[in-house]
Amino acid sequence: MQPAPGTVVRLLRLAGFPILRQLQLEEALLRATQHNWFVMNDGTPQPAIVLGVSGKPHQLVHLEAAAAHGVALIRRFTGGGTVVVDRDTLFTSLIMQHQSLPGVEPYPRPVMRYTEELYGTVFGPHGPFRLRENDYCFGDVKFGGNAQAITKDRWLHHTSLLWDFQEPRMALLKQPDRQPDYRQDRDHLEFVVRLKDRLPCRATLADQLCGGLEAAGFRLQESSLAEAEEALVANKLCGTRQLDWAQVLAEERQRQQQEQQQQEQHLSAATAGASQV
Amino acid sequence: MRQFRLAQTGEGIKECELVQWFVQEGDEVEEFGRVCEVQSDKATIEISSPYAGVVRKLHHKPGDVVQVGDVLADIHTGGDEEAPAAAASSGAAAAAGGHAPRQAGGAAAPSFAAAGVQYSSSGDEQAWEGKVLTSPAVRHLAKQYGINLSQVPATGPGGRVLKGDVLAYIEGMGGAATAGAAGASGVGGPSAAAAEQAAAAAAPSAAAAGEESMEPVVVQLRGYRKAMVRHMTASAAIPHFHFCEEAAGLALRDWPFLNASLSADQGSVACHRHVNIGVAMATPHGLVVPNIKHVQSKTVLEIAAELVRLQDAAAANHLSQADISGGTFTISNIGTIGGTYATPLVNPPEVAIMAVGRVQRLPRFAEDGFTVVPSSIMSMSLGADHRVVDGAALAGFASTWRQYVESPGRLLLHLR
Repeated sequence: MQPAPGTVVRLLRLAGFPILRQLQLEEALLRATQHNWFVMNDGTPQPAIVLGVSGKPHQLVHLEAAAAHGVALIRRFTGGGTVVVDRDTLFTSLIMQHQSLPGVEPYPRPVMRYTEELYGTVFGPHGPFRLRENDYCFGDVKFGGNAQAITKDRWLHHTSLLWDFQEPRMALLKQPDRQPDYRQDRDHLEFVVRLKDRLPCRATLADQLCGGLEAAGFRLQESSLAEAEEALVANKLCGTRQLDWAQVLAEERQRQQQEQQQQEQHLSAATAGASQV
Repeated sequence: MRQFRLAQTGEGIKECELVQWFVQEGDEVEEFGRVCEVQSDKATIEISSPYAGVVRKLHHKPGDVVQVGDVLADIHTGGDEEAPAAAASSGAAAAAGGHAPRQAGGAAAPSFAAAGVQYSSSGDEQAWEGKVLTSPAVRHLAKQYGINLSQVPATGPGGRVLKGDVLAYIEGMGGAATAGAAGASGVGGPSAAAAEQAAAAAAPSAAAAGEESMEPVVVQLRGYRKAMVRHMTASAAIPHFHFCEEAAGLALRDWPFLNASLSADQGSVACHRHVNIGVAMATPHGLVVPNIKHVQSKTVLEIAAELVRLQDAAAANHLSQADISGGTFTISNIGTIGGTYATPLVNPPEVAIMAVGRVQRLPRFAEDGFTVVPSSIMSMSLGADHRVVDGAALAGFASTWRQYVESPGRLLLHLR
C-alpha cells in the first residue's frame, strides 16, 4: 500500500493550539482543499471534552460536574466516541485524497488497517501495539482513540493520543452504552494507559510520527498555519462547534422532566389497569 | 421517480446513523452531488446521489438509524431513458461484505481507484423494461463520448452494460471510422445518426474479429477526443516524429507480427509486406487516420513530404480511399500536448500501436558512472492485440526501434 513516488503530504506542526480551532481547520482542509495533509498538535491549552458528531451529552458526560470544572464541551465533525483532552494530549490528523493511496479502499476499516500499519512503525517498538476496535492500544490498554470522515474523494483519520492525563478529568466521562468488547466493562481509568509510561521522550514522538510517513513512501512538505487557514475561508460546511453549557444544562433539565412525566404516566396507566382486574 | 437507497458503507456494516441532510425536499440535486452524511464505525461518510433530479421526499431525519437497503429519499429524475443504479453510491462508492466487488465489471467513477457501485436486490432495479441497465458512472462515460447506450452490446450479468463494453464500443467505432467526405459521396458523409448506426453495427465485429471494414463511417467527435486529434495533427510538423516513423518502419521489418492483421475466422495472421503507418488527423468531417504507405522504403524527407500532402488533402476534403485504407500500424504523438507517457489503444484491424511522448531534458549518469549530464529522454509505449502479439515480440520491437532512433547512422545503414 505504497503511494506513487513523490506523493506529497503537507505537514502542519502545531503546539498548544486550541482543539476547537484545530478541528475546524481539519474539517476545512478535508472539505475545501485537494491536498494531502498531516496535522500534528502537541497539546491544547485548555481542557475540553470532545463529543462525536452525534454523541448525546447526557449519555456520555457527567454534565453538572463537567460544567463545574469549567471544561469546554465541543462537538466535532467526525463520528465516534468522547474524549477528554488537555495540554498532555497529542493530536494527529491524516487527510488523504483517495487517489493518493489507491490500495486503501475509502471505508472505515481499510483506512484503519492502513493507519495501524503506519503508526505501528512508531509505537510497535514500545509494546504490543494494536488497533483494537477503533482504539490504539498496547495489549488491552488504550492510549489513543480515533475517528474518521470520508467524503467523495478524500478521507480523514484523526487521533487523540494520551501522553498523560488527569484522573479527575477522565472521571467526567460516563461509561458509554456502546463499548468495545475488549474493554470488558472496565472503568475508564482501568483500561487507558499513559504514553509517558511507555515511551521515553515526548518531543521525539512528533519527529517519529513524521518519519513514519516518510517511511510509508510520502514526501513531506512543511506548511505554515497561514497557508492551512486559507481553507477556513473556502469551507462552507462546518460541523465542529463549541456547545454552550447553559443551553446544554437547560436541555438536560427539560429532558429529565419529560422523562419523569412519562414514567409517572406509565405508572398511573399500569396502576389503573391493575385496579380493573 | 427514483428511490435512493443506502448502499453498504463498509465491510459487514448493516446500518448507519443519519447525521445530516445536505438537501431539503424540493431541492435540485446533481448526479454525484452530496446528499447526506451518515455515521458508522466511528466514521462520518458522505453519501452522493446516483441521480440528477429534484428531491421529493426525505424518508429519515437526523439521528435515525437507517438499515442498508432502506430508502433514503425519493428523487424525481424527469423521465430519463436510462435506468440508473437502484442503490445509492456512498461518497466513496460502496463495498459488499468483506470485499469491494468491483461491481458491474468495474463500473467505476473515473476519479477513483477503488470505485464500484453496489446494486441492492431491490425491486427498482428490475423495472427497466427496454431501458439500459447500467451504473451512473458508465452512463456518465457514455455521455462524454456521445454514445447511445442502447446500441452498446452488453456483457454484464442480467444484460448490464459494463464500462468495458462502452470502451470496446468506442474503440470499435474508431477502427471503423474514416472520413465520410472521401470516396463515394465526395461531399460530407452520411448523417450523424446513420453514421452512428453503421458504426454500431460494424464496431462489435470489427473490434472482435479484427476484420477490415469496407464502408467508411463518419463518427462525430466529442470532448477530449476532439482536442486530442487537434493536438495529434500538430505532431506531423515536428521533425523528430518523422525519424520515429522511419525507425518504426525499419523495426517492423524485423518484427512482422506487429505489422499484421488477424483473419476474420481468427485462423490465420496476415503479416503485411509493407509498413503503412497511420497518423491521426482532424477533418471537418471527423477523425481520419491516413497512412503513409511503404514507410520502410522511404527516406525521412519522403515521409515528411507525404505527411504534408496528407494533411493538405485532409484539410481540403480530398483524401482518397487509398490514403485512408490499408494502414498496418499507428503512431500517436502525445508529446504535442506535453504528455510524456500514454497507454495507446490498438486501432483495429491493426494489431499494434505506439505512442511517443515529449522529449524531456533530464539528468542522467554518464558512462563513467559518476558524472551527471543533461540528457534528452523520450518515453515510448506500445499497445498490442494479445491474440496476435506477445510481450516478448513487443519488447523486441521496442528495443530495435530504440536502437534506430538513438543511432541514426544505423538507421541509414539499414535503409533500402
